[in-house]
Amino acid sequence: MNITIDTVTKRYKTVTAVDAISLNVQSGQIYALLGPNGAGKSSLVRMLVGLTEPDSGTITISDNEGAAVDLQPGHFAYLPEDRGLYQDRTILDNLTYVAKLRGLDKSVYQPRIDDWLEHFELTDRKSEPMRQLSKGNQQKVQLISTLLHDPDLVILDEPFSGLDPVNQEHVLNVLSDLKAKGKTVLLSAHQMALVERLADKMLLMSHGKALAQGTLEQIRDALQPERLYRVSCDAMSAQTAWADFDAIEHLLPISADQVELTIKPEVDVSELWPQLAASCAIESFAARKPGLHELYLDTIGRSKGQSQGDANEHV
Amino acid sequence: MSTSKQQLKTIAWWEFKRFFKWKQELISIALLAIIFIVSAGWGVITEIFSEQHQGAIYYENKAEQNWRFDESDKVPLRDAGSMEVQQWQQQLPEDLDVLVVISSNLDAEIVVREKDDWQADLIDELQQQLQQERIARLSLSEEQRTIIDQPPEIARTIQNTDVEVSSAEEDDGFKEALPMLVTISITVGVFTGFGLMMMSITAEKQQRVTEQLLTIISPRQWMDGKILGITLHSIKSMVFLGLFFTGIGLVASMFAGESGGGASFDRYYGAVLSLIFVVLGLILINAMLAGFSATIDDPNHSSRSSVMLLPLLPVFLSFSIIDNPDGGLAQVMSILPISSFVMMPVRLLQTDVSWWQQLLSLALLIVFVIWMRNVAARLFAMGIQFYGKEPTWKDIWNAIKG
Repeated sequence: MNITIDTVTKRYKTVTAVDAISLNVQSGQIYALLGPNGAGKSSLVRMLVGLTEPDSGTITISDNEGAAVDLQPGHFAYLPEDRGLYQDRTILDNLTYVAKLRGLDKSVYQPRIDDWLEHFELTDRKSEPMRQLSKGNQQKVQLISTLLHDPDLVILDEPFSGLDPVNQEHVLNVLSDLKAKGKTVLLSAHQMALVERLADKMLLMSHGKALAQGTLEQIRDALQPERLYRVSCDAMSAQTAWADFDAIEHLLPISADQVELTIKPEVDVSELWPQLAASCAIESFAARKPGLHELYLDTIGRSKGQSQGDANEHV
Repeated sequence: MSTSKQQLKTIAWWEFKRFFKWKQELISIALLAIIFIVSAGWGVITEIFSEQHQGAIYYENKAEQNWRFDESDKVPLRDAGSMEVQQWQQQLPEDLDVLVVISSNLDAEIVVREKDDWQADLIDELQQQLQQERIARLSLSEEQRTIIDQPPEIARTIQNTDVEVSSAEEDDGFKEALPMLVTISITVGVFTGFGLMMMSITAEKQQRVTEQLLTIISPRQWMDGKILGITLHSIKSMVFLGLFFTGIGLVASMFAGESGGGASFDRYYGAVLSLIFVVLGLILINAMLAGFSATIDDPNHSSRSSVMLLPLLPVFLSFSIIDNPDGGLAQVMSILPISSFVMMPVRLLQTDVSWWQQLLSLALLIVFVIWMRNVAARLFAMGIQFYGKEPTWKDIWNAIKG
């Protein structure tokens, strides 16, 4: 299954929740939507699964041959952000109900339920009402109910929230398995370290807009082109000698003999190094690639600052 | 069976099972039985625990009066002397609760410390016996006495149906009680639906069950399944209550030595038609409640919960006109879809309803059920996705309009 979202916009009264977002998810990929609360991730997901309609733009689901597919419940799985199951009914009751609603035969759903419960170590608790389970275990049951019908397209809104690190790892493995089976997965998340390990592509959103998208490398290039360097030198001398260099955006001493430099994007780095070395001896230097978490914090921080500035200007 | 029908069946059965718990059902039946036994035996209980009162009686001109009051068990009366009476009329002694003074012209005076309920029975008894004695002293013939003792028989001829109802038929207690029992049963069914539908939908919203299910089934399928499941519950409650009443009726008739009336075509026809009306009515009311419940976020804090009682108004109104099934209001209510599911069965039990009224009423009810299902589905689809807030009245109106 492929997902093509083309300049989709959704407004709620005066708020533009999703602003001309486009993305493309290929079959067998794991695609992550990233962004702070209120970025528009859930609004985008809810349009994708048909709970709401876009105000403009198109969403197309197609098969591996590129033919458009009418998204039917059997084709996809959806784990909503606002989720829950019937608290007064048992794990088994809840899972059986969802399986039956999905039209699965008992001979199909019974072994699958047993396998999933075994996988998540919940077999002994299958006759307990949901309300007796911890939030993490309830999350696991919810995930089982989502994946029980072995769908080709899996859409998960915040699948890691409420889980401890061990269970987050569990879910990560489940998603990796789905990918290995050729399933298409679209998820939204805040756990950057997990997404970095998992996602083939990602979209970074803020205030409904796309800030960057693509692979981690592409995002890194888009948001922070190679301009972060670790330089081995005398840190104190460097701070004094390079204080007046306009090309340096930021200088951060890491240790007595190491600093981190952020170079302004427009500067030609190859011309800069000799100038820097002339005022302070440089033993070595290397570009440093920021992680997703760092990129996220930096980009979202700047995006928020910009929005604040825009808002102040309007005032 | 198609997937859609299978899903509908799954939802309906799930909704039924969600609220069906054998233990609670048995407790309800036991409670009902206890309430019945206590109410039936209330007279005996009050008798056992009633206080024994002591009294005295004085007859003026006792020598001339050969009549004596046949005293009741509750208030044994000992004879009082003339000296005591004068004193007791001023101040009753500690061991006396009442003093009865019978005058020579067969009037009576009772002297008590203060007014109390138990004195009413004594007064009634005195009045009856004194009246009998007064009549006895009129030197009437046996025939005259019979005429005075027996009230005239009044036959009623109903011209609309050309059926003469004899007083003997009107005395049939079971026939008189049946419409009331049917109305009570329907009320129980409606209230069951009211409570469960509200609980079912608001709990799903609060437990955040809705979003995932709405990607598996459509709002209409979900609502239809709910209506069927909750209607099954309503019918279950009515059946339990019906069986209970039937059991009581059977026990009562065994004690009274009566045999049940034979079944006739009319009885079967009326029962089947009534059942159709009741089931359609419950579906109608439950559809209204489903649509409206979906617009409520938290029943404990929503002002709309009380508005949901409005569909129950016709059910309450029907109680006031059970006794007059041929009255204008009863006829109108038996045709209007919002009340026909109560009034038509009640009328079918008591009187001959013309065929065109039955047909019109049934047709209107079916049309209204279909229309209401569509309106409720739109309301449900709109309201079920509101969390933490409620749609405005404008939103609701727009959903109703479609």
